[in-house]
Amino acid sequence: MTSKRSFTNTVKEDLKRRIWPLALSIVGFFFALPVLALIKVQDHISSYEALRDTLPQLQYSFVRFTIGSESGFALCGLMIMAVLNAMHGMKYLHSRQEADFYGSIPVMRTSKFSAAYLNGILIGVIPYIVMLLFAAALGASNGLVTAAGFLYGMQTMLIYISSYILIYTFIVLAAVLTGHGAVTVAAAGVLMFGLEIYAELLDSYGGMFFISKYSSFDGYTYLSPVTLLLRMIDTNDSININPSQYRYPAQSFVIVVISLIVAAALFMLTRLLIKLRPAEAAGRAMAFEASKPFIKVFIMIPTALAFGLFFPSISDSVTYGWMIFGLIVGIILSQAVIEIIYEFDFKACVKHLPSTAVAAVIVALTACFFVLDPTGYDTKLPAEGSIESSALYVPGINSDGYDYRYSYDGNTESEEERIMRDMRLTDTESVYTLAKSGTEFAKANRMRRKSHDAVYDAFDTVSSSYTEISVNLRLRSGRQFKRTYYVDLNDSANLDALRRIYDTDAYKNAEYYILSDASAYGPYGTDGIDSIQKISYESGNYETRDHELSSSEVQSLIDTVRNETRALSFDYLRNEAPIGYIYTETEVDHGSYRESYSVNIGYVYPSFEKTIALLNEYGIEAKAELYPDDIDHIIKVKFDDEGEHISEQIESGDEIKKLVPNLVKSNFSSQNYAIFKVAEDSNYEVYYRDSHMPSEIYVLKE
Amino acid sequence: MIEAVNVTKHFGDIVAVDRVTLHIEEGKVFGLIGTNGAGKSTFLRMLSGILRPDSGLIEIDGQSVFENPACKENFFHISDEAFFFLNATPDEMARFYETCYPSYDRSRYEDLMQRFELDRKRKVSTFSKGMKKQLSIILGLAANTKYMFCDETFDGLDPVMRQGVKSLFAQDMTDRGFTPIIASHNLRELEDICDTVGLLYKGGMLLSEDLDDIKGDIHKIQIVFSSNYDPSGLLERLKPLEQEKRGSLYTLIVKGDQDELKKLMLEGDPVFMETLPLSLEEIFITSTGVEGYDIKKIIY
Repeated sequence: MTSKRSFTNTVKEDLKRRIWPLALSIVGFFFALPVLALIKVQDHISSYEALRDTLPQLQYSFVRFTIGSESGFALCGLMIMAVLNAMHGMKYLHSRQEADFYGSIPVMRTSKFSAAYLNGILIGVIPYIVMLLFAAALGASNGLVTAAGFLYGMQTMLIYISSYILIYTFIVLAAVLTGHGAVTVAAAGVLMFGLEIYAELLDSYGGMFFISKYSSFDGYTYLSPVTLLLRMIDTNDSININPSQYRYPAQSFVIVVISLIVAAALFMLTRLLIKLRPAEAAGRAMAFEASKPFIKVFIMIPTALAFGLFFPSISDSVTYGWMIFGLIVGIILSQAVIEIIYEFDFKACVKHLPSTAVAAVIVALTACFFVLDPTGYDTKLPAEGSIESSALYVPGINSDGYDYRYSYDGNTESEEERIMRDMRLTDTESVYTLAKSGTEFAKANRMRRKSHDAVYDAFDTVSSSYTEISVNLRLRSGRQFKRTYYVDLNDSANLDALRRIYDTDAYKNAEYYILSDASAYGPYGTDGIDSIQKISYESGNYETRDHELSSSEVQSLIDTVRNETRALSFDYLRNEAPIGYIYTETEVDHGSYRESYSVNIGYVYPSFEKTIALLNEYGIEAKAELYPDDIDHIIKVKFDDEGEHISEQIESGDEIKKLVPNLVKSNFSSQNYAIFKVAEDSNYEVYYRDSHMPSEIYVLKE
Repeated sequence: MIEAVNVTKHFGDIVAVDRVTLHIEEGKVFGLIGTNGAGKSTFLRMLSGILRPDSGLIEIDGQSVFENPACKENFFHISDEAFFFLNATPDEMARFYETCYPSYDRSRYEDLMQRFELDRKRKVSTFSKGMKKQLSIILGLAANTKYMFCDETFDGLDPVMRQGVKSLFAQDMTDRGFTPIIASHNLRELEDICDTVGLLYKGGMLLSEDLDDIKGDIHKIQIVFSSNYDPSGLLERLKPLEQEKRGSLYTLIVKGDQDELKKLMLEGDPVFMETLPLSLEEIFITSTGVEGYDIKKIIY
């Protein structure tokens, strides 16, 4: 079975038939990379003199927009070429004339396919690489691309190319599974987004029907090559804070490798399908008759579920009637549309009903799963004795404790996810008490057919006695049980349980970043305490005071904040709000440029006497409390239901003395909103004797 | 030799080719005839390895054809709607085929292009339908393959060109044992070129025989008997397939050995007797009529 024709010849001959996509690719990337680079070079040179001090920023901006993660034109070009090359390269499968032609000549169909597939990659990738290098050379010759910048461009190239290959391969697979260009586009959409849509839909159903649904912020982007690419770029965006970050997080390169492995596996699958693909499929909607019912069912299920979700989502309650209506509409519409596309015949809309029945049964079972909750997702808890350790995240405690350096380092994990992963509470009984209360609440609301969103809106507010908590019960079996509950803190059992948990080191060490000993995301980053040059203290009204401190001064301050944070008690937090917060500013000398970033140290409470003393000792003015003698008058601004405000001036010394102990700074009053409540209907503008402007806005403790 | 045994092909619910068994010998022109939709193209596409039969066996010189490049080097398939690359010239098409067929004869291609007076540098897309057919045949002949499968290839060729192609085929058959398999719905087109014919009807093969055998066994006789002779007894013995009487002239189509038939006729003391040649069309009309098929409906 040998042919005169080698694979190289087949590739060469195929390439001759792909001249116009090749030309388009070269021209497109020429404009998207070198021409864009020239424009940017010109822009940067014109601002060069004025911005000489910020050369690193100029370099970084140039690299980012021309060859880096925000080279949008190049990315768009690659995505367009992925679609175009896949469609053009595989169009021979969709034309009877071409299918007959290639089927009759002495060339293995797998060889022809592999050649067309390979050329599709080369046509997209080679011009991109060449033009990228050209653009980088243009930048380098003008001093705008450093070695680090070039490496960053190469990293971007790797990410873009792997995404190109993966997306291209998905479209090729779609082209092989179908026999018509228009259907290929639809099939490519199903293949690339199908799994993510499934996951998102099931998640949405969980969100609608399960009151205690725990939602990870991670999403399901890894299930689609397109959203995965966007995520990789987004990840990079979040770290693009300053010029030192000429790098992607390591996980991006793991994704690159996985993408290439998946693409290779898909290629092998497609190559196998080519062997089985009947030539008569050209011009038909679907190439494989046997695949039709499976694909139909695969599409019908999410379509029906989406319709089932759409109608009730308009209502606050879970209206089963509208959900059933939506499911039926989804089934009917998808049945009609799919069969019409399959047969290219409007009259075929009622054909092949057995597969429709299968889809309808699966949809009904799925809906029943969420409605009836047979596994007890919402209502059951694991046995208390089976719990090894647990984590508790209360958004309403230390609510603004997020540390920016953590995200700056390229992590996409949320504060909640970090705590749920790292917190190791051994007081199972207290966590179980809260979880049990949350389960009872979920049961009651399920009975009332309340949707998760409705519950969230009604109970997760600053003024509500109910608060949202997320628990992670780690079972001895290794399984993790994650739920989000609503618990009533007016219930003394819940309040006591939360108190017991809060007052443990295990809780605080995970909740307060400064107490965390996990070096991977420690508060000083990788540059160490010596790199901290400046301490800033914000005391409210966004008034900030900076001070340059020595390393030992910074160390003393951080140790003091740590000790006093550790000494905070639950009951204290129920009565006090922070008076300010401290953060560091760090400058790192990278030789040719310097970078700066901020790290949040923590909130300062009135009880932080040593911290306040130390701040004052370092020349940073910090006051633990308001002194009535310093106050000239206070203006109370009361808001009525229509949003109108009524002002009342309080000048009497006695009244001021009576009022002051109950005032807390408005900016920090919701830091622990789950357990510390303030009157939301009034603000208090405090005027000092020597000022005509209010120094701070305060609110009244409830 | 090409051998198809019990070959069946369905397109959905439609049976395009139904249990066709066929032997095509080398060095002869095989005509595959049938109406539109009879399954000729489908059968040729299966012979070419484009389509995979649902069941049955197709072998060319003992090799299975599907996904077998070595086997495919032995034939050239000219589709009813031949494909040419976008904006390609005949030379570009020739260069492509040269990479596919090991025995490709470039000088033959150049010679034929000259003889057919086709412009080698002109885009094929600007050629007329007939010119495209000519080009396909030239490319096929230059491929120098043992077999050529022609699907309605002679449609669109003018009579002179058709004759030219026929003589080229004849020359190649003599020179190198070339075997063309020609599918057509037009019996008259195949009459003077085919050695063997196969008739497809609704996917099934009605008959497949050497044309000479068919012609040698069936005769058209015009005869006038003497006025005092009653031919009814003789006609009963002759069992004519068709019989027509105009005045005293009988026109009979009868099966059998020509000499024996003549001897029998002479018993009737005819005043006039003549044996006329039958057209392929007439042969099929009469022979398939015996099988119960109304061939006029099949062919026209």
